Amino acid sequence: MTQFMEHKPIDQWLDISQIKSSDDNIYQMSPSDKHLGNPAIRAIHGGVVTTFMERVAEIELSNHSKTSKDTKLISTNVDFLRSAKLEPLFGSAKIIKLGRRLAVIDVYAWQDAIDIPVAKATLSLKL
Amino acid sequence: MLDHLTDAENGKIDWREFAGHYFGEAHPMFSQFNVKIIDVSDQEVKMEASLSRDLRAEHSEHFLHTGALTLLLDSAFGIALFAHIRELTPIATINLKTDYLSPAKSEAKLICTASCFARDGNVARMQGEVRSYASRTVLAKATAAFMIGTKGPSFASPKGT
Repeated sequence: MTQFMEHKPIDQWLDISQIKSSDDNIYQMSPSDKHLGNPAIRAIHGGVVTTFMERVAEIELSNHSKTSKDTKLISTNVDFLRSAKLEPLFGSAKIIKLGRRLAVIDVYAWQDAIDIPVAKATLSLKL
Repeated sequence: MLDHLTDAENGKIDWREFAGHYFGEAHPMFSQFNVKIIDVSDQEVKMEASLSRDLRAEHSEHFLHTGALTLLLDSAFGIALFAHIRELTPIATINLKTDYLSPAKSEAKLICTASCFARDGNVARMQGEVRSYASRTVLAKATAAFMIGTKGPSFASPKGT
């Protein structure tokens, strides 16, 4: 089942939707030309992939914590594992720690298959 | 594609002009950054930018989503690396860490600097920051590792081949 997001400006710009599966939330970004880095290779810009992963973490956290409206991203550390083609990009998050003041979240992004990630990020958020 | 940026006499690329072309209005994403290149050298890239309201975190606020600053920094790293190695060989970001220090307003003028601080063979280490133009407050700092000479097409090739 696909649910469209709350439509914050950044979510509209990324064109994010949420796909509910039985166990996990999966988020999808539908990229377009405005998300390209180098148009010659038709790959999504690494900063766009990072922004998508940050939103996946924030949305996932908001689904788990009522205090998440006051979250602030402290830092993002992302490893780019493969080039991201101009095709739907999927993401899922795992909350590693959810304390009173801090959350640490891992996010994976993939395209062809979940076990072939294009990027992996760890994010620290202040609650 | 970039022949007009090359000095016909010595074949050298005008990196400042290249950066202007890279962030120019023809690019579907960078055209939303309103970039003005201040300086490009093999030591550092410095530019001003004001990012579109489309990149705000919330409708009710003027602040940009944090990812917008990473977008700007990752892009500046690419230009800084090209200018540092002085060739348009294919490059790719290996990893990137951004520390978000203070919120940035959309449409407000930002100053972004980026440089290559170390190189070990094909791996280059980049650093950069984004500041508020008005207050000079540091809004974000980032470091990244880039691979030089990846299999991808060159920026200079007409069809990316």
